[in-house]
Amino acid sequence: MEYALSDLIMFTPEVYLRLFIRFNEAVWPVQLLALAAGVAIPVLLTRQSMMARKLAVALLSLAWIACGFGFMGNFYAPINWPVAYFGYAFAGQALLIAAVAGAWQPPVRWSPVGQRGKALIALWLLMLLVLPWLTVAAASDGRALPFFALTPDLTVLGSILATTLVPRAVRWLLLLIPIVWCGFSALTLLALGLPFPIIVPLAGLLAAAVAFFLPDA
Amino acid sequence: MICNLSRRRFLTSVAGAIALARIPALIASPSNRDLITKVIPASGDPLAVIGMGTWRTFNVGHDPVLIEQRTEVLKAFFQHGGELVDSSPMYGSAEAVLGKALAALNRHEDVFAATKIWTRGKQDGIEQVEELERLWGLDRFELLQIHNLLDWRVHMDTLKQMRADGKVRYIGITTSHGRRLDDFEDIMASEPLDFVQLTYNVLDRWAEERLLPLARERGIAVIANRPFQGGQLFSRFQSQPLPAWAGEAGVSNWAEFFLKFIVSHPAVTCAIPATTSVEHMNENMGAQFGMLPDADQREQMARYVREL
Ligand SMILES: NC(=O)c1ccc[n+]([C@@H]2O[C@H](COP(=O)([O-])OP(=O)(O)OC[C@H]3O[C@@H](n4cnc5c(N)ncnc54)[C@H](OP(=O)(O)O)[C@@H]3O)[C@@H](O)[C@H]2O)c1
Repeated sequence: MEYALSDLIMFTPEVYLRLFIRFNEAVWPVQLLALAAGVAIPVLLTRQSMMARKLAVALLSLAWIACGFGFMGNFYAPINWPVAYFGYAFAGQALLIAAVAGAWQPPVRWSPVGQRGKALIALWLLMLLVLPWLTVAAASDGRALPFFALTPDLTVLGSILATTLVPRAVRWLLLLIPIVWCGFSALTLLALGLPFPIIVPLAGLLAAAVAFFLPDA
Repeated sequence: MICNLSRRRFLTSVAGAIALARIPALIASPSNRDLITKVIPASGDPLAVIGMGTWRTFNVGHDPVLIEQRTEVLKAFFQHGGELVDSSPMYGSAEAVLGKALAALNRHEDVFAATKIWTRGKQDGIEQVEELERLWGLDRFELLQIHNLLDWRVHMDTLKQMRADGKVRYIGITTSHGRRLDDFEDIMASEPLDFVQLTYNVLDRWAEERLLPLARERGIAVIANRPFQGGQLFSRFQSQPLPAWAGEAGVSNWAEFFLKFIVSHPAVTCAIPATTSVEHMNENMGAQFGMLPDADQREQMARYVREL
């Protein structure tokens, strides 16, 4: 008798999907701030102004911290203990983003806005406004809407998209934790048998592969 | 052994002793609505043959709606005479949820509380037990098991000492999916265990070869985990009809078929199905009433599912 993937999953799909409902009830109206940050980040990132980019990086870092300590630490980790470690990894990623952007590679040296910036904005809006509905579809409940900057899969996918503006020499550093998370989340959702929400971490893995090889603009 | 028995468990011990004096075999032969119990060899106490597992099903975190719903599942379990509840610190929030459900039902006295040590190191093991007692809201557990033999040498000493000090009633080890069977067998043969927990169901019968006979020989009670193969037995067979002779084997639905097959093995003391549903709990608990299949019927049952 061998272990099946489903033998390793320690909670039911219902419990997982209800996390989003409970979280949304608990933090309302923080979702509005998260949405505003979600719209602001790609716009600020693709501007030439150094201040705008720094603000975007700060917001992105904050998104990882909010997500790691809020949804993951307080809601997801109690039913899935490895997530507690990911919560700390998310805080680490926030520092990494700040370090890469602030110290090693000043944001002003990032790719100029152009085709890539436009593609980033388009994909980002897809992540922000369309993909959350996959979780809603799985839960058959509008209250289960996940948010960028609050729940992990969207936050990670958005951040992977943003790395395409970072010079390739340091981009891989920013991709490590996102790739591990996307793999973990995709396997979890596969084991739970949730075919819609799994699209988000799979898109994250695809985006990470593209970002890894994409040359500097 | 010093035993701080709770009221109900003390009464069942007395009843068990009386029952034992009257019934020489391990299996009490029940009339139609009698609760089926088996005797725990270490103490002679009876134990209801259907317990409850909590892997996945009771890990609902802090969700108040689901905690209330799982409390209903546990309530149904007790209403049908269920006793043994099995959990582990590996099961996320399951033990905290159990503690809340037991408190809501005020059933701390009635549960045969079985959990596991799942950590490395002596001190961590001791602290884990203390933390679990707090989560369940109990002074002590009936049964402490070493989960999947993790750091078993260290914890075995702790458990033996705890049992001698009356801090736990029974001690044991667990495995599942047929892992580390040789080690498991060696420990069964060499350590003074009261219980073992292993996977046994109508399809996974490897324990019949050596472990179940050894348990009988050594007077060790056996808990069968994954009685439905984690639910797969239902996915595979539930759409099929029960055999025409099912009624003669005391079986009226698939849940009873799977569970009665298990607990009718003379070496098995109790099976611990897990469920999130009150309806399924009611079905499962049906298996601890009525007749149990005899040896020929058991073989017939195994053949029937093999051929489906
Ligand atoms: N190494 C170890 O120590 C170890 C390893 C494995 C298991 N265990 C213990 O053994 C317990 C049982 O094993 P398990 O939980 O893995 O699997 P299991 O009890 O064989 O199967 C549980 C599954 O069966 C379904 N089910 C239960 N009753 C049903 C019914 N009447 N009709 C249809 N479906 C039904 C449940 O779904 P619903 O929720 O929909 O009812 C659940 O998905 C565990 O909970 C745990 O306590 C210990």
